[in-house]
Amino acid sequence: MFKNRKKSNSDRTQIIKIIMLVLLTISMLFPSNAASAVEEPIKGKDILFIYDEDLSIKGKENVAVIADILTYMGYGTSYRTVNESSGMLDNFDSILFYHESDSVSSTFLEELESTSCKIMMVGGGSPDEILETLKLDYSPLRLRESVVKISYKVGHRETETALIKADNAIMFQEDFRYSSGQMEAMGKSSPLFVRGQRFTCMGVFDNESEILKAALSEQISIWKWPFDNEPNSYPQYIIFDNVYPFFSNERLMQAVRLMDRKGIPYSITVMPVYQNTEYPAMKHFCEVLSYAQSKGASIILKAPLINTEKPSLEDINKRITTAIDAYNKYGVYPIAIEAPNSWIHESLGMDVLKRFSTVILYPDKKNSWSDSDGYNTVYSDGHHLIAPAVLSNSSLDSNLIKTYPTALFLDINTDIENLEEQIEQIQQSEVSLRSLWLTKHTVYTNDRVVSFRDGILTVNGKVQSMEFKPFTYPEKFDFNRGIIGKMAESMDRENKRLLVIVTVISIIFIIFIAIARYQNRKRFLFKRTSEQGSDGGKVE
Amino acid sequence: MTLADILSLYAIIAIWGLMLINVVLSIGGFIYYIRVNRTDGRIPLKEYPMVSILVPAHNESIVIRKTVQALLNFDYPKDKYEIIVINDNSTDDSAEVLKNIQQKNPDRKLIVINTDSVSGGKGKSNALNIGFSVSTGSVIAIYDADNTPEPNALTLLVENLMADDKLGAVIGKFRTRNRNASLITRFVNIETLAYQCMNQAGRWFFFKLCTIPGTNFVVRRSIIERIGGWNTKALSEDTEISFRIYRMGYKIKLMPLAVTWEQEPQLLRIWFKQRTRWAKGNIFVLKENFKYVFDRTAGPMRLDVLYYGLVYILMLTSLVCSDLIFILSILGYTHVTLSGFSSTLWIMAILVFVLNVLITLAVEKNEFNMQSALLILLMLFTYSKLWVLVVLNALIQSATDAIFKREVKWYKTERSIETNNEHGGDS
Repeated sequence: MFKNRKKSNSDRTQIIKIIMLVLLTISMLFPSNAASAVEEPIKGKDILFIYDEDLSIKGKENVAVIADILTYMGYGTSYRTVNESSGMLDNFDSILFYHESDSVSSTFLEELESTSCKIMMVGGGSPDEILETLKLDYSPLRLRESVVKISYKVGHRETETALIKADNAIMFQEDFRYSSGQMEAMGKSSPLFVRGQRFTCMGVFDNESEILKAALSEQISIWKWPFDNEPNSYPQYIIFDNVYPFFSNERLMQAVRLMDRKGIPYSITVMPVYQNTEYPAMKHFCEVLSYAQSKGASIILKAPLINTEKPSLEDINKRITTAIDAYNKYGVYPIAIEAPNSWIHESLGMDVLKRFSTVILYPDKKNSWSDSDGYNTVYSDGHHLIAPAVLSNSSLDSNLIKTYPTALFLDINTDIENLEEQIEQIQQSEVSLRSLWLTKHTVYTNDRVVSFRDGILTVNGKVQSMEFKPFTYPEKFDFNRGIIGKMAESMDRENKRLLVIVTVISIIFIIFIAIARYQNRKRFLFKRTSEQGSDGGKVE
Repeated sequence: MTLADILSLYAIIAIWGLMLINVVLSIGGFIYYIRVNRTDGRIPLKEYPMVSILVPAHNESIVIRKTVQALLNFDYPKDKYEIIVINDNSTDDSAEVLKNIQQKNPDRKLIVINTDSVSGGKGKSNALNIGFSVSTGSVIAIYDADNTPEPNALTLLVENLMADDKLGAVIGKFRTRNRNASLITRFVNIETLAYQCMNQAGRWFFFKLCTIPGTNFVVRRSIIERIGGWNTKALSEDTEISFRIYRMGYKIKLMPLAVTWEQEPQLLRIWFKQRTRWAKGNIFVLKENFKYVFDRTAGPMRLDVLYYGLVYILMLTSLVCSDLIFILSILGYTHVTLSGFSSTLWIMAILVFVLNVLITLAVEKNEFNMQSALLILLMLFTYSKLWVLVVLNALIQSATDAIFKREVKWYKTERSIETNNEHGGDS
């Protein structure tokens, strides 16, 4: 029997060896194909975003913001400079061109002429050559370093206006089949957006203007929409940001009751907690969160703060695992992560985000975008991205964006009356409100999979109840701090005591000094006067 | 909690603890000073005892003339005291200088013992034992060779000793004669007043405890005989003898009106060597006597041993920790995360330190001024740090002496020639 088994093992090994040899031979026969599959990022996705070779600083910032808008809108985007885009135009039906210079390379123009793709120009560069290539008879007016008044009506809202100091702008005086918005400069006016045949142009763009960002995203969504009706609208999500475990439970409870009364869907972003999660403060905090969760609030985990020089993915994942576990223990289930916007451009950030299907982005450092991948990689990871809202100049609680899902962050520290006013204003918004509980979410940690779909939340496949049950607390909690911990804990209090002691000591000492000076004057000065300077025995 | 947090916490608690102890001692010392200053300190006796003044001197020709002259000028009955100078294996012209003084004062009892390298040259304790062997007084007074005591010092010390049978010794106050000579002597002057005189006064006020300072004190002859003289192995013979006197049940009193002026090291190098010897001596005494902290029969001496323990263990380690963390924080290697660890804490500590020292200067004549206040601040960041180095050096030397079984070597402080204008602090 043993002999037979030995023989069968030997046969199996032989078979495995043969299979491996065949696979190796095949892979050696097609080396170039395999390599090109890795190196070639062109996947013929939705939009080819091209830009000039030499951009101004402002131009680079604008490109970064537009690239982010395309990602938020859920378009797979390939990034290229004009020269790099050679040979690629045919793969795309939509080209977004950020152009601020006077001319365009002839190769690009030839390629553009030979394709049927539509092109949208942004950046205020000269469109003359492109218009000529597309055989469009328009005579644009090019403005440099001028102040431009913008008017634009986002959706069915009232018209928003803004003044822009633009380095480059393009104005068209002719009538177009499609135009939108208005721009005025140097006594002339022109539509902000014009479209003729396959050519679309945005007259001016500035990443610091909220209205222009909203206008661009709306026009891109129309530009890309294949039907005659309005493009899809996306909702906004109300999020109470940066809620800490040491935040006043009463205050949090007031906000929860208000939202419940108003019937508004909302989320609470909680800070990750790694230590002392068994302390009563954390338990009380989670009790309120659990109550809020049972009343329809969804919980989001704030991304861990990275403050080390060389952070490791393993370490961050470990911290997230600890934080998720800390909340799950109390029946609170974070179903998404709130991360800095820059994470969608950094490989470490994207690796961390891979464990969350839903990602809420908050604005952080500027100009963090780079096109090193040549592609908006985070898009291919299939996240449900929720971007920061773009707020109206006229009303800070009014979100201008419905072309992609947005997060409207509210401050939990706002007093309850103001919060109520804000909520009422948000309710008037054209952008619909939505609950995170209406979509699917998955969170992976080192030790669990938290999944929500069809109204059921599971942890590692086990269904979890979202019903609120009041917590019980021990009468006296043992903090188990040890002598050193207790001393450290009481240092703040001791500081105040010490301040009182030092004040008392200082007063006593100052009184003592006064007494001593008085006595010395009596002993030496008066004595010296009467005894003509006798020094009480100094020996010379 | 990180290691830096734990060490910081330790340093804060230790430094503040010691500071509050010093504040309490200063309050006691101040009250005692004020009380004494209202009197002339005298307790006239029916009959004054015979006093033997011992002056150990090794190569002290620069200062010995002034010292002996001051001793001869005491207002104590001339026939009731003798001066015994132990010219201990000197290689300078001390013997000649002393002979001259003897010749000029034929009517006074001035004994000079010249020792050689066989009988002498083995340190202060050995010299004192030699002097003691020829002394006749029932009270022994000790003065260092660089001292110029005020004329009433001996009378005050002896009267106070004889007025109370429970007193084993009475110590006076010593001041810095050359305080204006250099920055280091200015620091020493402040340190002497604050941490030796005022501190001693506080300890006497609360616990009837004082440590003999090595000079300007009187002790009963019977006590020296009972304890078998000075311990020649101790570098800090004064502290050592104090502990032995405590153990016999006697008290040691401070009489701040009995003043002597002494010369302090003017150079950092000399100061460092002198202080290292003191620290080594005190470490030796602490090591020998620490067991008494746990001995209930040792009486109030336990407090004094504990006090030395606090200074040499708690203060040293806490200062090392806080300085180390401060440097590492600046270099960016560590940071303290304690929530209450604020700069207010350190500012308050500095304020208490400055006021604590200022109060002792306020009691003295011509010491309380803005210059002194600024010097105290400067002292905190320079002189105090040097103290840490001194003790660390002493610890290393003590450890190597113990490991290699080296005999302790008595370092004699080098003297400086003084000019007239730097003489005496109260001109």
